[in-house]
Parts: sequence; structure tokens; C-alpha cells
Amino acid sequence: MSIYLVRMAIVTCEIVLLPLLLIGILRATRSRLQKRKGPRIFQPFYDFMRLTRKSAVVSEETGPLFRGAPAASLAALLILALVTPWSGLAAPISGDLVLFVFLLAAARMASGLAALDTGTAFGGLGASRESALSILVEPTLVLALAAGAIYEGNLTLNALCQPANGRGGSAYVMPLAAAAIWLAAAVETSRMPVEDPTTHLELTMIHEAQMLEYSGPRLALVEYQSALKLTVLYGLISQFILNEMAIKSSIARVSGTFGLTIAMVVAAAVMDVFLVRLHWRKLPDLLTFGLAFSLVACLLAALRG
Amino acid sequence: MAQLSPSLPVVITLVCWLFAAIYPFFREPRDRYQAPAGAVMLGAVSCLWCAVSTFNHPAVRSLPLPFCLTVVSASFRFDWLSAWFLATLAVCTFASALFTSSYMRLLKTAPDMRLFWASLAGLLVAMCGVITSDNAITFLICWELMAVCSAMLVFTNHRERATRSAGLIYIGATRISTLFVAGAFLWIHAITHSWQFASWHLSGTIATGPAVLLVVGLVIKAGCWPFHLWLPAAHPAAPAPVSALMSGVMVKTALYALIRFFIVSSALHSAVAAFLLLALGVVTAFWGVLFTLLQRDLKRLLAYSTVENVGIITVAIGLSMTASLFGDPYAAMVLLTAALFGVLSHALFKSVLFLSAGAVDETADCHDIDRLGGLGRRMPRTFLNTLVAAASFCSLPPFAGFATEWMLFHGSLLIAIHAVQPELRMGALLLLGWLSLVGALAMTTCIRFTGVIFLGRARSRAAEKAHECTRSMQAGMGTLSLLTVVVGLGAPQITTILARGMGRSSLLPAVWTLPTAELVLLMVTTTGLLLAWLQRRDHNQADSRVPAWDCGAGGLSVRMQATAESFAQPIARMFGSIYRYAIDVQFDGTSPRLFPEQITVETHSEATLESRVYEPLVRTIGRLGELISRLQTGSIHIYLLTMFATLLLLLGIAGRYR
Amino acid sequence: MIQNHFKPAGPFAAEEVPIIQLRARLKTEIQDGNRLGLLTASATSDGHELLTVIISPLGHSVRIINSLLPHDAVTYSSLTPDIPQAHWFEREIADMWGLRPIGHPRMKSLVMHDSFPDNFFPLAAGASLPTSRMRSRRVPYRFTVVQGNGVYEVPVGPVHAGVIEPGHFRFSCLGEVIENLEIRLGFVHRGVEEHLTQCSWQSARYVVEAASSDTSAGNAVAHAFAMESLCGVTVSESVRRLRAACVEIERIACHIGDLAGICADIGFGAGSSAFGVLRAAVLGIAELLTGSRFMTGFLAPFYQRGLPDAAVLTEAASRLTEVGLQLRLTLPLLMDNAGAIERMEGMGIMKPSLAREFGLVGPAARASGIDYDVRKALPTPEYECIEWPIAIWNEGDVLARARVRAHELATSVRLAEALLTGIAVVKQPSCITRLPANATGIGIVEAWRGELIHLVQTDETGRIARYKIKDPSFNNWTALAVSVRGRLLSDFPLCNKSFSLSYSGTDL
Repeated sequence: MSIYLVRMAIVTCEIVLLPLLLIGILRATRSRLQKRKGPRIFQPFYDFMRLTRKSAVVSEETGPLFRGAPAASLAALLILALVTPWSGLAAPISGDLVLFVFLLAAARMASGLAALDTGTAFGGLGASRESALSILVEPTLVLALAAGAIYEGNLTLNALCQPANGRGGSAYVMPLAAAAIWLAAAVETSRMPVEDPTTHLELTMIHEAQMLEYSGPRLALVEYQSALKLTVLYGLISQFILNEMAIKSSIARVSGTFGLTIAMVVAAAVMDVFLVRLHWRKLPDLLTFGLAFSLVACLLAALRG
Repeated sequence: MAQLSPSLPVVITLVCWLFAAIYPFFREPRDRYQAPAGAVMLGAVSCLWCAVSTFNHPAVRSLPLPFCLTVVSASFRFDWLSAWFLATLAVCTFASALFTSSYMRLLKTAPDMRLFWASLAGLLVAMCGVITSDNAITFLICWELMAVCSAMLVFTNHRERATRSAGLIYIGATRISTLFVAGAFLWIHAITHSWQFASWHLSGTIATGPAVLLVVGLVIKAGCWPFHLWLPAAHPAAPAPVSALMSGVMVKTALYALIRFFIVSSALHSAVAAFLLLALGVVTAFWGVLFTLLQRDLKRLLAYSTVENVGIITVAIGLSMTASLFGDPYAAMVLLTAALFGVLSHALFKSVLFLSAGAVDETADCHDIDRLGGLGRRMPRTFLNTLVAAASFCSLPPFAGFATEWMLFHGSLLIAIHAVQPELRMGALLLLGWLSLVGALAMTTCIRFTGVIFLGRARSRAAEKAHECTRSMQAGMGTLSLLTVVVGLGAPQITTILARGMGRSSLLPAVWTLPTAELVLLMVTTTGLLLAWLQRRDHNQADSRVPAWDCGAGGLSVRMQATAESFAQPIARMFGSIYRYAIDVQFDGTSPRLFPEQITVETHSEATLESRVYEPLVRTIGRLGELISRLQTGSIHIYLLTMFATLLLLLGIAGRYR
Repeated sequence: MIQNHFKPAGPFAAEEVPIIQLRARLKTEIQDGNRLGLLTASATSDGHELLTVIISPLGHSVRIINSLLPHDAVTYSSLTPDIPQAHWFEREIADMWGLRPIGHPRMKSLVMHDSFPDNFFPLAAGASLPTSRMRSRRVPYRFTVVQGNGVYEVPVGPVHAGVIEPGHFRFSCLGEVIENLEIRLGFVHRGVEEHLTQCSWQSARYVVEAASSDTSAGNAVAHAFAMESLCGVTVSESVRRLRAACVEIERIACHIGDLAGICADIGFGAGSSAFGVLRAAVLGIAELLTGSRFMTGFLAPFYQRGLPDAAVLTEAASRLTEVGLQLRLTLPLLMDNAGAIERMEGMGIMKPSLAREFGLVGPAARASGIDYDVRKALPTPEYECIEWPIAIWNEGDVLARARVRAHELATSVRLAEALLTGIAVVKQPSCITRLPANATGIGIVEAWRGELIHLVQTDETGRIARYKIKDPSFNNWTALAVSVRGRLLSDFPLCNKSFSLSYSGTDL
């Protein structure tokens, strides 16, 4: 019980602190790479606090759905964070990949409907684009997680943070699955080369276009939610890599996860700066790569046992 | 009393529905709404009672009725499977009837309610009969009664031309379905010499023929690809509660029969049937959701989404059969439970969606979703119900749809992990990917449907004058959406009960392995806390309510919000080759190349199955018919010649097989 | 070497063509390979006349055609059906002068917004800016409504998310596909042309520099040419060289800025910041030379005060060489980047045939295969200090426009270096104290966006009676709308940036 509580405490702390810190690191790295001074690493925290204190400007056209959606989608993400072993420790609540995928879907549906509720062209545009990409992202995530589950021989997500016991075999399953999730995460967290997170051009936005009408505390929730999504997905990818390296001790896993996550954030910053945003019609091709990775991972995992 | 327990509610049910059928014939037109609806609801309650009592007494009961047919007596069997479907039927019927009385008053065509109630009661009785019948003859009689009554209901608005042609397509589909089912039954009878389902046990190659016939006959009724054509025709034509019942329950009777014959009673053991069902289900789900995405007609859209859901349930059935064929009873049970949950959850949320579509259609007098919009503010309760149903449709936790999808995914994963054959493992994984693709597409259709109709701004006058529907209509939808939540949250308990019904609880671990209680607690607390925090913030600092940001363009017009057509365009283009999706642009004016004055944009898509397969087929049949009609010249000599030729032919055949 | 140089100081051939023959005449001019440089109206003693400037790139000459409108006529037969490039000119004339072209295929207001009274024509005789409440509102502007199910409109602007000039873009889309784009400008109408007739001619140069502030050097030079041709004087070669050098430096800075913008619009942060750094270096050279990073308040007609001394010129030239070296390293970041090329290729294609009909100018025209550069079409000796090629691509897509810019950058660096080395510091005092009466002057410059025309006319007292500025963007805005038709919404920012048009230059 006490171990459970300690685990819960660590995970909660990480949920509270890590997402915005990672965003801070990402932005700072990006600025350095562009030879700019850039914001402080802790700036996202200040931004968050500032936004929560501000009063909101809300469109007259919107209804309760728009007002409630940030809470609903953040709740879905928080549950996601509590059922996924993204921190390197077993999640406090045992979940499985179906729950994982449909919690993400729930968040997506809430934000999509909220975007349509604004009655603006940009909102609809964003919702439409996000939906179109989701049809490739969702199978990728499902198959990559399934490959992991088969590799570990266990359907719960928590199995992902306990490396396979003596189940030898293809060494490519976990890296391939990790790569697939990485590509899916580029869409889910609106990173390059899918979406330019720094752009102000509404017409090129995907995920951001859905958030345009939010301000004040709700914007704070929405921004925190994206940060949390990034943290969870990167943490999850780290578990795949750590499993491949057969790292077992909790401390090593937690620190390894932290290191890998930071490394991925820096990699994301590098991609943000040096990659060119893909043409909208080329995006399915990129995501098909992710799907192919996860399919091959599945194939290898399935053939192994 | 214990022995009689199913029969008392059965009698009450039948009496109530009989009353509903007869009563309107003796009343004035304006009194033909409430009393029959009440009677139908009462019957539904008693039907639910019957289902529950059947569940509580899992022993199989036959209920021979005191009349005889020439070949075999009518007999009915109440077991857990019938009970599950009876419960589904009861719930849907209750809600639809609650909805019906005020809905039918709203109809502008003012249909004849006598015919309506009589057909509805007939349909309900027939569906109960199909679900409970114990032998082939009873089954076929009920099956036919069901077809006739439902066709009558489709014809309710028979003054409209579209309705008449839809009804004819539907009748045609039911004829072909019955042909195949009857053929299969005759074939099995020829092998087993028995009409009793209980004595049918076929396996091996001998089972293949009848199994395939049966599968084809049943999936026509279920609306599987490529026989789904009647669904998008019939649903928009029928009144909303009828659509709800047809989509929610009637289509499921075919799935019931599949489960009954291929899984539960093990009448037919056929790997071919299992693979056929899997293949049909996989294509159906994808095809259905793809066409849902393109539809602009409210009910046609829902009809196609029914096709998708039927496909998913068929996949579950097929996969369950496959799992048991390959010796994995646990996965088979999980998948069967998924199929049964699919039946119930689909009945619940699709009925809500059809009812809310009916409410929207009648209050806004418009069923083109691109002319609706912003109804959420005018019909808040209908919107809330639709939202719940939509979330369930998208399989979002904690609604009933999630339970279905979870078990289906879980079952596939079990096969993917535990199956001995690598190709089976890989197949299950591919299926998993495919299902998640379909799931993501379904969510897109759902966001499109809910968002375009209920959110944003009204796109037409019609949508502006929409208003909330009556209390009873809301109650009808509310009952079902409440049940959607209850079934979703109660999934662990319900699966346990089902497992007990299946009689397999002692052997295998529980189906449901998610820690539902913790998750629900977490969900309630996090959402609650966040909402409360937002509420406090809103309370402390008043928001500035301003018009939506228009980039300083001078106000947003109604045209400046995404339309259903536009919302679907990116995906429609991705899969464009399947339905030949194209956007045609035409420029007009004195010099259209340089200064187009009028620009007209049209999207084209083609229901390829209809245009490439069925239309040529129908044309060919028509041409053949013309050829044959040349014989029908009215000349007695030709007729005599024909008769003579036929006689000779028959004699020849008889001589051959003597 | 071209033998017959264009003489910016004129005199320009002028002829009278009756208004009924104007359309046919212009048609033959265009068929002969000439350009419609400018079409505007002007007030005469009894009524109005249409003023047409014809540029002959082959003959290296400029002509003016005057067409007198009948007394108190407010309509004339539209030229646009035969000369598509006249369509914005005619709309502008209708807005500013109240002269309506009959038979114009798309007659809408161009710069006047709905809040102005119906019969208010700013440049027409006797017009006064309505002060109090405006009574008779004009018929509201109607955007083209694209017919068809499911079409929706995306309004962008005039207030944009970035700090850019105001303009409204109305996309009619089906999903992602742009079926029609209508561009509405005129949000920053400042009455520049009106103001230029009221202020003294000595201060006019400050006003024209602000007509489109990112082209201040170009406008200053065009103004100088126009004023000098009005008076029939020429300035020394050193001054002409300095002017050309300024225009080239402005071109370098702005082209680099555009490439940075293209990088930003494809999300290529590294490229954007690298080009941004370079642009700042070029602006530093401009400051060194002229005392102003944007070269405002420096170039003047008739004379040049404060010619930079030799040390400054050497320093500027060496800094330019450095920029040229840096450019050679930086340009491949974008131009040899496979991802960037893929993103730009085939985007926003402007077909050469359409480009010709709409009379495109500048890099956009040269990217669509139009061999037109004022520096070559109307050659002056200072531009022949070195041999330089004209950058032509035929694809007409974003990539072609970027390549034209990249190519022109290299050329401009070389040109500017050569121009700066040939400047002798000789004082030239102004010899003009008053302008001649009833004269016309034209200044044509290849500014960084393309052909920039200033036209000035004086009345019988020697005051400026009419001043017309034709910004290069005026020709190119239509191209932006045409090139994105049938393309995707998410490509628009990139296409827009590749045209890089001026709002204020059109909203005079």
C-alpha cells in the first residue's frame, strides 16, 4: 500500500510539473537553435498562471459544450496519464491499450465538437483536418501498442514498464513500435513536420485552429492538456526503448525515462527548427509510414511466439 | 409458478400489443395516439419482465402453443440468448413508443394510425417470435410476418413517391432473404429430417452449403455489404420511431439467428461460414462508415452508420466462431459477449439518434444536415441525448459503445497473443488495425453529424425556427441515453450475468478486466473538479461575451462555418477512388477564364455498388423479362404451347429422377 | 551593349486617340508586344480624359495616349474585355473619378468601402471628404457567392494574426480546396494622390516614399525620374548610379526578407532566422549609405545632398561582398533543401498565358516566363556597368518565384557593388526652383516588386495637378487570386508570401 502511495505521489508530481517544464525546455532549445535568446525554461508555468488569472473573452455564439470541453478533454488526458506507465513506474490504475486509444479519442472528440461550436470557419477547418489525420493515427497507435502488448505477452499497459521476462526474439519489435508512436505523436502533439507549432497562420493550423477561440483559464487548460499529451506519449515511447534495453530497476527506469523524454523533446525542437512542414496532401504518406512501422512490428511480434 | 413464469409476462405482452393493434380501429382519428402507445409501452415492460425472469431461471423452457400447423407445432424457447434480445427489444420498444405518440401527430402527411399501430404490434410480436422460435417453420412464419409488418411501416407515408420506391426495394430485399433462409432450412431438413433447431447438429463439409445459404439470407436482412442497399432506402422513408425499431432491433434479429445457429445452439459448424462472416463484416463496417461520411440526409446517414455497426457486430460474431474453431473458448466468449453488447448498445444509441433525427426533422422541417446548425441551443435536451448517443457511437468511455469496442479489441488481442497459428495471430492484429480505422472514421462521422446539426449557427431559416420537442419525445430519448450510461458503467456486472447465462462462468476468467470502479471514480472527480474550478473562475471574473472573432471582416455570416460536405472532404478525397469522389467546378460569365462571374461547385460521388453491379443486374433482368413477355401475346395457342412444353419438361425430369 | 538608351528625362511621345478608338488601339499595342503601363483619368478644362502610358520593351520607349471623354460623360466603353490587364485600373478610375466603364466583366468597388457615400469620388472635381454623418450609403459590396452544396467561406483579415498590412481575403472553399478567392483591399486608403497635389512639390518626395514604405528607395527614384522628366533635366551619372545602387540594395534586403518569409511559411525556422540575420546586415549597409535603414529621406529629385564619401562607399561595397558570400552559403538552405523544394514545387501556379494577359510584373512575371524587367526594357547606362542576366523561369510556381528571387539576389549584389565603385563625389546643386506649366513627367523604375510608375502632371500655374503612382502590386494582386484557385487552403500563406504584395502601395 505504501509503495502504491509513493508511486501515486511520484506520478502526480510528474503530472503537475513535467508537462510544462518539457514545453519550456522545448521552446528554449528551439530559440537557441535559431540563435535567439528565447524565453526562460519556466516561462510556461508563468504563462499558465497568468492565463488562469485572466478573464476570458468568449464568443456569443458558443454554448455550454464549448465551455465544458476543455475540462472534459483534460479529464480524459489526466485519466490517460494515470493509467499509462509513462513515468517509468507502473501506473497507479491498470489500463489497457483500448482504454488508452479511446481516452485520446474522447479528448479529440471534445475539442472537435468545441471547435464546431464556435461557428467559425477556422474551427471547422481544424476539426476537419484533425479528424482526417486521426484515421491514420489511431490504427498506428493501436497496432504499435498491440505489438508491445504481444511482445510482453500481457494486455495491460503496465506490462510495458516491466521488461519481458525471458521472451527473446526479434529485437526490432519495440524500436519499430516506438518509431510508429513517435510519428503518431507528431500529429497528436502538433509538431513538425505535421504542423508548425509556432505559426500564426490560421490557414495552416490543424490542432491549433480548434483552440483559437479559447482564452483565459480555458486556454490554460487546453495548453496544459497538449503539454500533458506530449509528456505521456514521449514517456510511453521511452518505455518501449527501455524495455528493449531490458532495464528493470525502478530507479533506473524512472531516470532513464526522464532522460529519454528530455532527449526526445530536444529532438522535437531540432525537428521544429530544421524540418519543413509537409504539404497537407503528403501528410497521409508520412502517417502511412507510421502505420507501416507498427504493422511490421505487429508482424514480427506475431511471428515470434 | 416457476414453470409458468415466462408465460405470464408473455401473455400480458401479447394482450397489450393486441390491444394496441385493435383499439385504434374503434376510435376517432385524434384518439389514436396515446392509448395504443401506452399499451405498447406496457407490453414492452412486460416483455422486459419476461426477459429478466428468463434470465433468472436459466433452464430452457419450451412453450408449445395450443395450435398446430400441418407439419409441426409452433414452439418457442426462452433461454438467455432470447432473453438478451427480448430485453433489447423491450427497451427500444418502450422508448420508441414513448416517442411515437407525439411524434406521429407532428407528421405532416397525417398517416393512417390504425394501419400504423396494427403493423407495429404485428412487427413486435413477429420479432419476439423470431427471437424465441424453436423450430424452422415457426421461425419462417415469424420472419415473414416481420417482413410484411415492417414493410407496412415503411409504407406509412405512402403518399410520397420516394417512400413507395423505398418500400418496394425493401420488400424485394426481404424476399431474397427469405428465399435463402428457407433454402438453407430445407437443405438442413433434407439432411437432418427435423425442423427442430435443437436437433440440428451439422459439421464438416456437409454443413458448408446450408451454412453459406443461411449466412447470405441472414446478412441480407442484417444489411451487410453487398446487400445493404435496402437500409439507406428504407430508413429515410419510415417514420423515426419505426426506423429506430428497425435499425435497433429488427436488423438484430438476423444477427440473433446467426448467433443462435452458429454459436449457441451449434446447429452448424462451418469454418467457411465463420470466414465468410468475418470477411463480410470487415467490408461492411468499412463500406458503411465510408458512405456515412458522405451523406447529407439525416436518416440516410444514420442508415449507413447502421450498416457500419452491423458490420462490426458481424465481425465479432465471425471472430468468435473463428476463435472457437481454433480452440480458444475464452476469446470466443469475450467476442460473443462483445457481439451481444454490440447488439444492445447499438440498439440503444442508434435508437436515440434516429429519434433525435426524427425530432429535428419534424421541428425544423429539414433533413439536409447542411441546412441545419445551431440546434443545440434551440433543442438543448435533444442535443444532450444525441451527444450521449454519439459518444457511445464513438465508443468513448464510459458509455455502452466503449464496452462493446473494448471487448471486441480485447478478444482480438487475446487471439493475437494466445493463438497457436501465426497467421491467425497476424489476422487478428490486422483486424484490430482495421477496426481502429473504422472506429476513427466513425468518430469523424459522429463529430460531423453532431457538430453540423447541433453546434455553430443555424444555416437556414428552417433551422432557426426549430424548437425543443415535446416532453414525451424527450423522455423516449432520455430513457435510452440513460440506459447507454447504465450499460456502459454496469458492463462488469452485465458481463458476469451473461457469462452465467452462457453457463461458462466456472471454467473461464471474467470477461471484463478493466478496473471500472476506479476509472469511473477518477472520471467523475477529475471532470467535476475541473468544471468546478472553471465555474469558480467564471464566477470571479465575468467573461466578456463578444461576437466570434471575424478577423475584422465585418461580422461572420452563416456561410462562414464548416459544412458537412466540407468537413468530410479531406477524408472523402483520401478514399475517393472507392466512390469516385470528385469536385466539379464550373465557371460562367462573359470571359469565364479570366473573370468568372458565377462559379458553381458540385461534388460527385457514386454509390459504386449500386451503379456498377445492381443497376446492370436489374437492367439485365428487365431485358430478360421483356424477352419472356413476348410469350405473353394473349394468343391462346402460344399459351397452350408453353403449357405443353412445360409438361414435357417436367415429365422428362420426373422420368430422370424416378 | 544596347545602343539606343532609354532617356528617363523624356520627352515622351504623346498623342490624342479618340475614346471610341482607344480599345482597338490598345489591343493592337498589346498585340505588338507593348505593355499597358498605366491607365488613369485626369481632369481637363471641360470634363475628364483617360491617360494611358504605353511601354514598349522592344522599342525601349514610353508613350502617352490621351483620350478625351465627351463633356460631362461619366461612362465609357470598358477596355477590359480586350485588355484584361486594364481591369483593376478601370475599377480604380470608377472609384476615384466616378467614370464607369460599361461592359466591365467584374465591376465592383476596388478601394472605396461601404461606409463612404454613394456619390463620393475622391479625385473628381469638387469632391470633398465627407465629414459629418454619411447619408446615402453605397450599395454594399458583394462578394462573389460560389454556388453549390457545402461550399463555405473562410474570411481572413483585414486584421491578421501577424503584424502585416490590412487586406481581406474571402475564400470560398469546399473542404480544403479553394474554389474562389476574392481579395478586398482599400483598408488603408490615405489619399496619397490627392495629398500630392496639395503639398509643395519639394515635400512631395517624403510623401511618395511613404506610399509603400518597403519600397521607399524605389518610390523615391521613380519620383525623381518623374520630376526630372517633367522639367526635362538630367542629373549626373554619379547620382544616377547612387540611385540605382539604393534600389538594388533595397531589392537585396526585400528579396532576402521574402525568402525568410517563405521559410517561415513552410515552418522552416532555421532558414527563416538565417535569412533574417542576412537581411539585417543588408539594412545595415543601407543605413551606412543613407543614414536610414529603409533609405527614407535621402534620395531627392534634381540633386543629391550628402553624397557618401569614398570611405563609406568602399565600406559599403566590401560589406556587400561579404553579404554576397554569406548568401552563397545561406541560399542552399532553402533552394537546395529537398523538403522545401517539394513544398514549393507546383504550388500556386500562375500560367504564363494568364500572366501575360493580366500583365504581371516583377519577379512574379519573370517566374511565369515573361521576359520583362524595366532595367532591360528601358535601359539606362548605369545598369550596363556589368553584364547581368535576366532571371526567367517558366513554371510559374512558388519554387520558380523563389528561384527568380535567389537569382536576382546574386545579380543585385554584383550590380550594387559595381554601381557603388563608380560613384564620384561631385556636388550637384539643384537648379530647379519652379516646375514648368502644363507638363507631364513619367518615372519608371524596376523596384524590387517590379515595374513602378510615377506619373506627374502640372497645371497652368506649375503646380502638381495630378500625381499617379502605380505600384507593381497593382498588377499582381489578381495573379495571387488566380494562382490559388483549385489549390488547398493550407497552401495559401505560402503562395501569398511568394508573391509578396504591397497593400499600401495599392491603397493610395
